[in-house]
This record gives sequence, C-alpha cells and structure tokens, in this order.
Amino acid sequence: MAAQLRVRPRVKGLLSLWHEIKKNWVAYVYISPFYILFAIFGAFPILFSLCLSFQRWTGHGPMVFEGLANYSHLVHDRLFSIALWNTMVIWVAAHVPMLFLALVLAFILNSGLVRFRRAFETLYFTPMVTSSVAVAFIFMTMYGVRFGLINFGLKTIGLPTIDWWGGTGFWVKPAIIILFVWRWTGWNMVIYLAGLQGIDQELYDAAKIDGAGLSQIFRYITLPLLKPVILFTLILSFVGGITIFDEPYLLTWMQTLGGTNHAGLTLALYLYTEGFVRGHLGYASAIAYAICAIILALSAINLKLFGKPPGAV
Amino acid sequence: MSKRWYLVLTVLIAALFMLVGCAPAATPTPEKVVETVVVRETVEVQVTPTPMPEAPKPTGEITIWGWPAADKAFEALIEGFNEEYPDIKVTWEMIPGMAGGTRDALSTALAAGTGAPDISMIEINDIGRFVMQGGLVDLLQEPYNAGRYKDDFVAYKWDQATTPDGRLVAFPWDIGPASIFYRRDLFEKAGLPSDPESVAEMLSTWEGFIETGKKVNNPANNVFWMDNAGQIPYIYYAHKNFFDEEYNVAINNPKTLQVLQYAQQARNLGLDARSTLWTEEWYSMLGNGQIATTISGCWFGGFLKSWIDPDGAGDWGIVPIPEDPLQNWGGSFLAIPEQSQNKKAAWAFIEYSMATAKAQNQMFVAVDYFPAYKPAWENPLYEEGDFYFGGQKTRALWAQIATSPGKIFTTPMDSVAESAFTSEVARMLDQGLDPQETLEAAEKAIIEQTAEDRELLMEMLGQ
Amino acid sequence: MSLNGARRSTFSVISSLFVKVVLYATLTGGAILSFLPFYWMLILSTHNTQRIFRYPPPLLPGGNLIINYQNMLPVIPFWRNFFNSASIAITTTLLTLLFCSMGGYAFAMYRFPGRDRLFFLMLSTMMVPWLVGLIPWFIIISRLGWLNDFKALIVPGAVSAFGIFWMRQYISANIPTELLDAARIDGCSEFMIFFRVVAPLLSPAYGALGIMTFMGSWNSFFYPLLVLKDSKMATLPLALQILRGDPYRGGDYGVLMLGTALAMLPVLLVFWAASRRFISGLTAGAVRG
Repeated sequence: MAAQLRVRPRVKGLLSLWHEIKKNWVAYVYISPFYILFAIFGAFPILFSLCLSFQRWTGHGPMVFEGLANYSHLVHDRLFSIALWNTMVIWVAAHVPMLFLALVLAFILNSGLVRFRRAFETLYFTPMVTSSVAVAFIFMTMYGVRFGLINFGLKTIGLPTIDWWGGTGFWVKPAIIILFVWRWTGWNMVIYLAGLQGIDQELYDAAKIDGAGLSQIFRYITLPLLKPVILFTLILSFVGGITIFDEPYLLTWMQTLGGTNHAGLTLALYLYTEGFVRGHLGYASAIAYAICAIILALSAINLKLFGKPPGAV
Repeated sequence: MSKRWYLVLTVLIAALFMLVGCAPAATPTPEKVVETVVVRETVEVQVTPTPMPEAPKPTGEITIWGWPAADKAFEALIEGFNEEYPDIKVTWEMIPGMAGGTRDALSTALAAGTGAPDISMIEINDIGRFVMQGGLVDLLQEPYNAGRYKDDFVAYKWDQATTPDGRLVAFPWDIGPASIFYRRDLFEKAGLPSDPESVAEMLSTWEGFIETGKKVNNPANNVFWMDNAGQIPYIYYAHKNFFDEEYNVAINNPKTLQVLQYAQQARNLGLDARSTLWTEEWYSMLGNGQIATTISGCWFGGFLKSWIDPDGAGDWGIVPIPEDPLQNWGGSFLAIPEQSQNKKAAWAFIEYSMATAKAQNQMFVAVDYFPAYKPAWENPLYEEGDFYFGGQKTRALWAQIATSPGKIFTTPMDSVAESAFTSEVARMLDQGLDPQETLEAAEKAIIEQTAEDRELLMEMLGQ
Repeated sequence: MSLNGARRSTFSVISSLFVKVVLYATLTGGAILSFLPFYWMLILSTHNTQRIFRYPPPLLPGGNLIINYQNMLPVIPFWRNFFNSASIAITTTLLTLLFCSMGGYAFAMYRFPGRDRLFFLMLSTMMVPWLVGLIPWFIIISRLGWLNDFKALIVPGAVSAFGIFWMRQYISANIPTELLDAARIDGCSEFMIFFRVVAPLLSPAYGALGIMTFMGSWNSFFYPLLVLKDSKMATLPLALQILRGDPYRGGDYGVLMLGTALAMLPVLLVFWAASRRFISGLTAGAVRG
C-alpha cells in the first residue's frame, strides 16, 4: 500500500480529490443555482466591462483598443478627483454619525430604562422599507429654498434659511447625507440592538458590583464585545457608501453633474453620466473598475486594522 | 410540520411557474413581423392587375419611442396618416423618465444590437451623442432621399442631425426659437409700458435689459426681474457656437466676456431670484407672478398654458432676446435605428409627420411644438394672435426669430460643452468670481471633457 | 440594569427620573423625525400643486384626495403596475429564499473541495458596481428574447451573493451539526435533511432576507426601465417616474405624492405586521461571528 502511494502521489491526490467531489455532490447541487445564474448574468457583465475599460466605444460600431489610456485619463481627470473626494466625504460624514447614533439609540433601548421598545424599533426601522425614488421626492420638497418645510421651520424659529442648492454648493452634501442618515439609522440600530442582547447580563451585574459607572461599562464591556457586530455593519456600509447613486441622482438631476460646484457628484453618478449620458462607455467602465479597486483597497485596510470580520472564510 | 412544509413548497413552486409562465406575453417585436410584411407586399403586387405608376405603399407595424407630449401630437395626426397609409399600424410608447429615460433605453438597445424601436425620438441634448454613437439609419440614402427636404428646414436644425462626414442620422421635428417671456402686469406695476413693441425697445440691448430690470425688480415684495442670471450666458451658447469650424473651442472672445459680465451685474444688483430652473419651486414662482422675465424656447408657452400658469391669460408677452435674436432652445428629432425591420414604413411615418405642412400644423396646434419645417409657416394660423399672450402674434414673431440673420455652428460635442460651460457660469455667479477667469476655466473644462469626443470626431473626418 | 434598591437618596431618585425623561425625549424626537417625511407625504397627497408650493407650506390635510386619485388613474394604470411590481417582487423573493438558503446551507454545513475559494469568489462579486453591468446585462437579456418580459427581472435576481452570505451566517450560527448527524442516523437522505429538517428552522432568516429582497425588487428602477416598454407592463417606480415627468397631465405634485404614498403603503403594512419575525431574524443572524 505505502509503496503504491509513493510511486504515484499526484494521481492519488487527484483521485482523492475526485472522490471528495463525488462524496459531496449534494453540496455542489445546492450551490449550483447561484453559480449558473452568476455565470450567465454576473460573470459576463463583469468580464465584458473589464475588457471595455481598455477600449473606446460609443455603443455602436467598432471598439477601439486603447490600452491603459482610459485609466491614465482617470488619474488626470479633475471631475474624477472631485467625484472621489465627494464620495469619500459623503461616506464618512454620513456613516460616522449614523453608526454612532444607531449605537447610542440601541444602547438606550437595550438598557431597560425605557419601555415600548418594540414600537420604537419598528418606527425607526420604517424608513428602510421605502423606495429611494419616493423618498427623494419627499425630501426634494422639504429642501425647497423658498417653499420647503425645513426652511419654513427655520424661519419660524428665527434662524436664517438655508440655500440648499446654490452658493458654493456647500449644502448639497448635507442634503444627501441627511437623506442617507434618515434612511439607514434604524437598520443599524436594530442590528446593534441584536448585538447588545447577545451580551451576558451577568457581566454588567459584576461590573456594577465593582462600582463601574454607565460610561465605563459602555467603554470596557459593551464596545469590545460589540466589535464583531460593528465590523459587520461597517462592511455592509462600505460598498453601499462608495457606490451611492440613488440619492445624488434624484436630488441633483436637474442640474448637470452633481449641482453647483459639482458638490453632489459621486463616483457612481459620474459613471452614469459618462456612460449613459455622454456615451463614453469605455471610460465609464474604467471608472467602475477604479471604484472596485478602491473598495478592495479599503477592505484590505479594514482587514489589517480590525482583523477578520464575522462570517469570513 | 414537515407535511406542511411540503405543501408550502409545492404551492411556492406552483405559484412560481404560474407567475413566470403566465407573465403577459411581450408585444410582438418588429423581428417577428418580418415574414408578414414580405408576404403582404408580394401579395399586393400580384393582386394589382395593371402596372402601378408608383411603388406599392409600405405596410407593416411600427413602434415609436418618445415622451409626452408626443403621444398627444401623434394622436392629432394619426387619422390623416392612416388615410394615406392604411396598412401601416403605428404604436407609440412613452418611456418613463422623459428624454433622459428614452436616451438611456435607446442607447442601450443600440449597443446591444436588439430591442430598438422602429422610430425613436431624440432630444437636442442627446442628438450629439447619437450622432457619434451610430446605429441610426442615414436618411440621405436610398430609398429615403431625405436630402430633397433640406432647404425646407431651418438650417441649423438640419445641421444638428448631420454627422461631420455628411450623414443625416435623424430627421428634424421642432425647434425652440427662444425669446423673453415677460409679465405685462409687473411692467405696469413698475409704471412702464407693457406692450411688446415698447418692451422690445427697452430690451433691445443687454444694458437696456439691466436698466429696465432695476425698475421692475422688487425683492421686498418677492418680485424678481429674472429667475436666474445664468440664463444670459446660457442662451448664447445653447447648443451652438462653442466650437469653430476647425472644432476648436471658440468661446474665448470679447462677446462672451461681455455676456458673462452682464450676468454678473444682474446677480450683483439682486435682479435674479437665484432660482434653479425646472424645479417645482421655479414653476410656482412663475405661476405666482414672482418672476418678471424668463428666457425660454417657444414651447414654454405651451407649458405656461397647461400647467405653470393656466389662469395667466393676458399676463404674458414675448420679445426677442437682446442684441442677438437668433437663439434657439430645445427641439427634438425622429430617428430610425438600423435594427428596425420596417424602415420603409418608419420613413413613411417620418416623412408624413415631419415634412408635410398639414401634419406639422396639426401637431403644433395640439402641443405647441414649433415646426422646423418652414413651409408649415405659410398657414394663416401663424398670423393669429394668441389670446393667452394678450393677442400678440407670437407665432409670427417666433418664425421671424428662427430665420433671423446670424451664425450658428453646431457640433456633436455641444451638449458636453454646454454642461461644462454652465457649471462654470453657475460657480461664477454663486461665488462672485472674476468673469475672465471663469471664461478661461470654462474653456479648459470644455477641452478636458470633450477630448474623447473630439478624437472620435477627427477620426470620422479622416484627419 | 436597574439600580440597586438598597439605599436611594432623593438625588438619585430625581436624577434617574431626569435621565429617563431625557432618554424618552431623545427617542421620541428621533421617532418623530423618522416618521415626519411620511406624514408630510400623506399631507401633500391631499393637496394640489398650487397649495403645496405656497408659503407657508401646508401642514394639515386638504381636500384634494379624491381629485388627485381621479387625476392619477388616466395617466398610469396604477393598479396594474402595482400588480406587476408585486408579482415580480414576490416571485423573485421566493426564488431567492429557496436558492440562497440552499447555497448558504451548503457553504455552512458541508466541507467540499474549493469551498473557501468559491465562497470568496462569490463575496467578491458584491464589489462590482451594478451600473457598469447594465449594458452587457441588457445584451444578454435581449439575446434571450426576454424583452418586455418579467423573466428578465426575476431570473437574474433569483440569487444574490448577499443572500447566500446571510443564510450561511444564520445557518452556521443556529443549526448544530448534531442535528444533521441525528437525521442521517435516522436514515434521511441529504435532500430530505435540508428540506424537512433544516429549512423549517430558518424562518427568521427567511423573514429578514425576504423583506430585503422584496424591497430591492420593489424599488428597482433602471433594470425595469430598460426591459419593460409597455406602460401596462411597467412597475411602480417607472409609473411614478411617468407621473413625475408628464407635464401635461401628471405635473400636479399632489397627484405624484398620492401615487408615491399608495406605492409605499402596502409594503409598510406588510412590514409592520411582520416586523417581529423580521427583527428577530436580524438578531439571530447578525450577532454570532
């Protein structure tokens, strides 16, 4: 037996692999729907647009191979840098307060100091269950400079009104961020609430016996134990944040390229403009892959800093 | 428990099949009609006993993509069309998202090689893009021979649909001769004459425009002279004259600087409401009588009447743009994608609807799309006064504006240039920047953003 | 986390009351802010454009509800569009639940060659922005002849990488392998194990993933825009866009708000009814790592 193994190790390796595959055929059947559908509807678009990012194409007629020209153009493209900057700013400015707020709210709800927990949970979660198109319409009326609800409220309490869409475009980003925070805080709050419920009550009791105050408990017990959950929400917010499209598109569609000073131009909006509005399909694909590269880079940094997130292989 | 789950699963799968399988069948795509058309044509020829003096009329079904109010327009002429061509069945589909949605759908279908309609409407903002993209039939070729209509159309309109290498890829529909729409009542309140002749006199130069503005402007009472100072430079470069005949950027000249300076002056004097156009707030201010003048294309009259200010009959009048009356804003085209299986029938519809005075005027009356087809203007309705505009003969004025002397040079890069230009102008106005610097920044931005298109253009020209 | 009851001074009683008031106020304030846009939308749907854009803006219901409803119907076949959106969303959700639970189960419970690599591959597909794939996706759909057909929207959406990820999470956290072993000893085939033993236990995860998938499909705009051309085939987001963009008939903002409210209401109702199951599904799925 041992002699046979030594003589043909590779073939033996392959045979045992085949044996393993056959033994687990059920598993392959289970995962096959995804991979079959992905092969047709997922892989082809991804590969096609990857190839396209090295070409120049208007959508019809020949594709002209240009090597890395699109990518080098990206590097020098002022609008791309603006879009990149905007996307980063919006992502950080939206997610940091939102996640913090969600955490605080979840902590309060979990602390047992207030009742009606289920009702609050449901109310806060409701914004999630809506269509971005519908919500954008509503927020557009709220953001009206003259007739908007927000400026009406400000005027009533004597504060100056906000020029949402003009000036330096300063308020365009907050408009997008407010919409985003309004929508997603509830979702993250519910996730944190779930995480908090997973922490043993005994730990809190022991800490209180030792004389720890609320904020100390929060810092030394709650936060560390919540780390995996926080990472989970961070990852979910990554891709969504970098590719934010609906809100900027719907809020600034009547002003080209993201409104005044391009304040609302995000990477995805720029991709759409270049690809669909202007017909530069090769360049748009290059933008898309630049976005992918950014996501990959950020994920790599995330992994280095925080270690592997829950559920990863 | 498990029995219940089996039941649930069975129901799920059954429901699945039902929903998926019973999904309403697609409307037959043009490809499927091919056989029918061929057979019918042959049958027709055989049935006719004597040799026909002209070719048999096209038959078949065609689909048109467009956006409102094209459906109302087509409804107005379809009866006449079917009298001429009884065997062509026309269906139109209004695409959600207006011109932008139609553009997205059309460009995708052209790129995919299938799924395009027989005729598609294209708006002026997108015509450059489609001229560059290709996939549309060259209407100058046999059997369309659109070239014979060339002189019947307003020159700049024809040029916009022509590629640099001389192909006509879309057929002109309407133009938007631009004018100033002014509120008579606000002029009167300021103690000024409000009849079109006097107002045209006052607004014959941009200086006059600003001076008159100072008198009418009344921010304390929420009345503003104009909606947005950015309109002044905008109209100068609305889809034209960004480039010279060598396709180099041509905006860096004293005239542009002057226009930018007037815009800035208007802003600094507080003459504009700083309102963003095409927002609900803008519509309301117009309807509430808070804006004394707005610059727009003639189709804006239709908007005013229908929904912006339906009760405003008699409150409005129009005058030409100061100093350079030959201005245009907007307009659309009809194009035939190469994928169409019914090109002859499609062309029959285009020819009938776009190049006959009868159809053009039927549509004009229905939806206020001003014909680019000059022979249509010979109709008495162009001499009529418009009750809404206080009896003013607006149509005659627009026709006159559209044929004013002046130079219009358009290129497929105009939309991109326009968007870069207006971004810089908005920045200048919102932040009080220097007009000369803005001009240079705009020039730079235009060059940057049209670089790829210009390269393609040069290739098309064989340079 | 209640305070130890041994010796409570007046100060501690008042301060705990104060803290409670502050907390309630914060929570309620936030809840009001969350709900305010809906309230605003409902109010606006009972007015017409002229009233909406006057100053001050309306804060109470007006009398235009019926008129707005009557004005909306000629522009778009609203209830037909509603039915379309619902059929597509329901079918997509059912398929997704089925395939994703299968996939998640396989990744969680089986050790097979290439498992880790395949999983990573699947995860990485989530990183490509969807916009860029629109044209190639359309190329495939049109070659398959699925234009103007709901299949184009259901089939590609039937499996999502996120769904498999989610299910894998839940299953590995909540289904003990002993259960499977016991079932095998009892003589169940592999397929029976999944469908009869495991699947019934997944209902919280189904609830969570179901709502997310349903919402994604219900709100989807671009894909239906490219595929569905007939207004009778259109889904609700397309119909709302038609309402918004039609100046000659639908330009009334009140009508648009009414359409928007009607589009959202059923989903809200379903969610409120199912929220317990949904939130507990999130709980169990997200926590363990």
